[in-house]
Amino acid sequence: MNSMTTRADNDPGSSSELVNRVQRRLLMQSWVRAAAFGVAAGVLTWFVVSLVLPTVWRNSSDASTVGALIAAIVTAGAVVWWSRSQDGDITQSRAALWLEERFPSLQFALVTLNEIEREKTRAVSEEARERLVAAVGKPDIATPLNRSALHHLRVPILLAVLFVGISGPLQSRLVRARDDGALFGVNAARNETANRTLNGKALTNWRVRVIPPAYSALETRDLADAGQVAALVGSQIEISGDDGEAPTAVVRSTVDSVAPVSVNVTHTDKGWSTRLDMPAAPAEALFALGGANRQLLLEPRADSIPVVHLALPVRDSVYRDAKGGVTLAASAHDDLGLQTVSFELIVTSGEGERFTAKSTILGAERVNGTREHKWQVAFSLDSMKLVPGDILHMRAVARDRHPDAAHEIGASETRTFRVARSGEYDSVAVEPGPPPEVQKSLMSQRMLLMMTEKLAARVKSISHEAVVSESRKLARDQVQLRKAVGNLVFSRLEGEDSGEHSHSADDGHDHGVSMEQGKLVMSASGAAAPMTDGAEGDSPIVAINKPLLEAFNAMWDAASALEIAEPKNAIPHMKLALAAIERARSAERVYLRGKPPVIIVDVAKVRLVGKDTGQVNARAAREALSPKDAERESRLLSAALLLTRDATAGRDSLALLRLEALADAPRLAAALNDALEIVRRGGDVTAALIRARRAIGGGMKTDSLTSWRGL
Amino acid sequence: MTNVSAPTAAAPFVFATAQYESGDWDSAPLVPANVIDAIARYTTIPVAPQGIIVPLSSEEVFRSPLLYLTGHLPVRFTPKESEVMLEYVKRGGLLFIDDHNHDIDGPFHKSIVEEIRRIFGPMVQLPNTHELYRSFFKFENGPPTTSHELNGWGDNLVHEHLMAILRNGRIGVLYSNKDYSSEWSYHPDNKRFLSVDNTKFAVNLVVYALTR
Repeated sequence: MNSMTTRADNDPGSSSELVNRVQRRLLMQSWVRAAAFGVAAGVLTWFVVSLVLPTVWRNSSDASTVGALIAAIVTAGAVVWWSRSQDGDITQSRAALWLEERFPSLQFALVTLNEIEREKTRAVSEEARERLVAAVGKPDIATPLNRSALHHLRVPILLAVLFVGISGPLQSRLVRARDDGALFGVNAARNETANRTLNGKALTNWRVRVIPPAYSALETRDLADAGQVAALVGSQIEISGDDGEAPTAVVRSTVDSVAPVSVNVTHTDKGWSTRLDMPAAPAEALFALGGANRQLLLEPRADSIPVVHLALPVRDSVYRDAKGGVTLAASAHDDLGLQTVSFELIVTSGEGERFTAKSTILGAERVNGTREHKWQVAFSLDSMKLVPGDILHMRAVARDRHPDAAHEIGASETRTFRVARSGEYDSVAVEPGPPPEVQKSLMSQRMLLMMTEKLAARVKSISHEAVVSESRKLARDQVQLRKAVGNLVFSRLEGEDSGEHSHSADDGHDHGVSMEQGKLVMSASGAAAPMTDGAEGDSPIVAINKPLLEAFNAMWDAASALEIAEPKNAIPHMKLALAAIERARSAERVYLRGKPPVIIVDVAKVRLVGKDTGQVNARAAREALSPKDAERESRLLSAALLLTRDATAGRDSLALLRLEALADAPRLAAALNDALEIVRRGGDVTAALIRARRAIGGGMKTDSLTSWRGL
Repeated sequence: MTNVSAPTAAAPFVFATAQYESGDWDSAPLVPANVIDAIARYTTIPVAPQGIIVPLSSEEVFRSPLLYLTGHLPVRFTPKESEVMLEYVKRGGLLFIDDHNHDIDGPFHKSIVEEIRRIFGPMVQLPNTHELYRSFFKFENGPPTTSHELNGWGDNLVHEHLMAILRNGRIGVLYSNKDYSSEWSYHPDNKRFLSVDNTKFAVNLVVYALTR
């Protein structure tokens, strides 16, 4: 026993050493294979994760950490799995058998010898041992080991090397492609919610310079790290950054669905720079670099046209004769400055379908950039050589300093002077002022009587011509009043008078009265029933009309006397007429101007204590938002949620939404502007966001509405 | 011992329009309803839903604390009308006269001023700090301007003051050249179209007539 032990121990180059060497090599080979597969799996995992995680993870550093952790776990798992995927542990027996398989000439001598040496209690003769040792000999194990290593390791190592080698460049290309896709609107929604996915320090600190158009005379502005630029249309926007690589950039309109326009970005010694023109419609400039993207909102400010007010002449007029001087005065102001001001005069002549027009300019001035200007000029209407029917149009115009000839000019309201034609004096109000009411010129019979009495008392103290003149004036008033009474009689007899079919004493109709020598008398038909009512007295119709007929006739006599300047003789007739009218009034309230309307005020209703409940109709359900508003509401809510996690991204989302709303939803844009200002100050933005939400829904509630406080 | 009767429920205020012989006394037929509406709207004064027309020559006018008189045409009061008017003011009534022409050259203004002078004596300018302008609503600048004044019709003047005949420290006759008759001459249902109710001054008139 001791001899056997000694023999084995003293045989370092024996079979056990050979088997040990093979076992170690096979174990190492297995580990390297598992490690290679693990590396390949880890690299593949990192590649996939690094593409996916940034789309759902806001913070890029956190995304990188999580991605690396996942890759490490996968790598470790893969190593363990591959190492355990062998058929079993590589023991000395398996190593010996592996050699026996490669060297069939051993005739299992190595396996036997290995077992004898491992199981030392087994009794084997020295001779047999020596034969076994001799049978094993010293085989060349390097070749099969190398061949096995090459066979088992080439695939995993090749995969690991391949994945490691191509994943880096491929990942960079895919990230850039993703950025480009986002810039060109492939994934606009994702871009909006994650529009500021910073990767390291790329695009984090750029500089913006605004160069206004030369004609505006505005100063160049430098903005540090701005996310939004408001500038005059046509301004040059210079953006520059310190990043070592030039980003890709496009400009996309936020109003029109036009394709984004690529922007050329120049690489400079200090970083990169580019230049944009401020568009006419709101737009956003999107920059992408190394997985980071950032937006610059472009808010155009239009050059407003001049506002012009024509102060003189104050109103339109109609002239009998186009003579005299006219002063034109006007004022104008512009946001950037006025260039020229003047008055435009246009004379149109003719009538029907034949018109001619000629225009002229007066009072033209070059004011060279003044923002407010007043000017005036005087001209003679005689110089215009206007003829009846001509119309003179006058307006003030002003042009600002915008260089584009097609830029709209500012113009005032137009005043017109018209020269009346001779035949229209009776139909148009040539002089300004309200037309006199016919009723106003009617003097009451009592007043006429009093004036006639006064005239009769003065007959001897004034000249005959004066008596005749004043008497005839009174006669004309008396005639007018008589006509009014006559019309009333006819309207009573025939019903309400209408403009389409009016009645008079001598129109040939049978009114129940007839005209005899200028006076009205009841005709036979008119005197019949129901005008008269026999012994029981007059009917109401007759009771009213008889006195009026009497008054009418008395007025006839009075007017006749006044016409021949005999006021004293007219007085009895006038008193008779007055008494007749009084009788008519006593029968029924007859007033020459008609019966006033009867209005009974519902006092209880006015005091809101009547049977009206005051309840309005049931509220209708709010109308569903339009698809556009619904989409904006969704984005507003997303931005509000985003504000709690990433204030910068939320602010950018709100700014983008505001920019889009500028064109068609000014209330929403104003509310979002307030919200952005609050976010910038770091205040509570809740109220502003609620206002924005209401603006989307078209809500009418405003904070300025005071509560009801009664009277 | 004097018998004192128990107080009875207050009789509602009745808006009265004066009917006079000359001129056109009913040139503003919608004013009464509009004034009644204003009283009902702003006060708790019991008010009759319809105004009445009282002949100026009858003693019915003595039942009305406020008497409204307007017109376009020349006015000449009869002796009876003059007598009743004088007695009305002496008894504490308030006669509110408004020139419907809003024209100091108009026939109504010329004749009514002459008639007032003849019956009551010369009128005085009512200061814009008078309690009439604070009796219910506050009018800091005196009588409210009418749209007809601002539109430049009539005499094209904005009359700064009202004229008055004062009796025992209170207004007996109030004369306006501002044409409230036109200003208030619309159906009260149309008041809802106005951003500012222009009949508030009528409430001051009624409250002043009832309380002073």
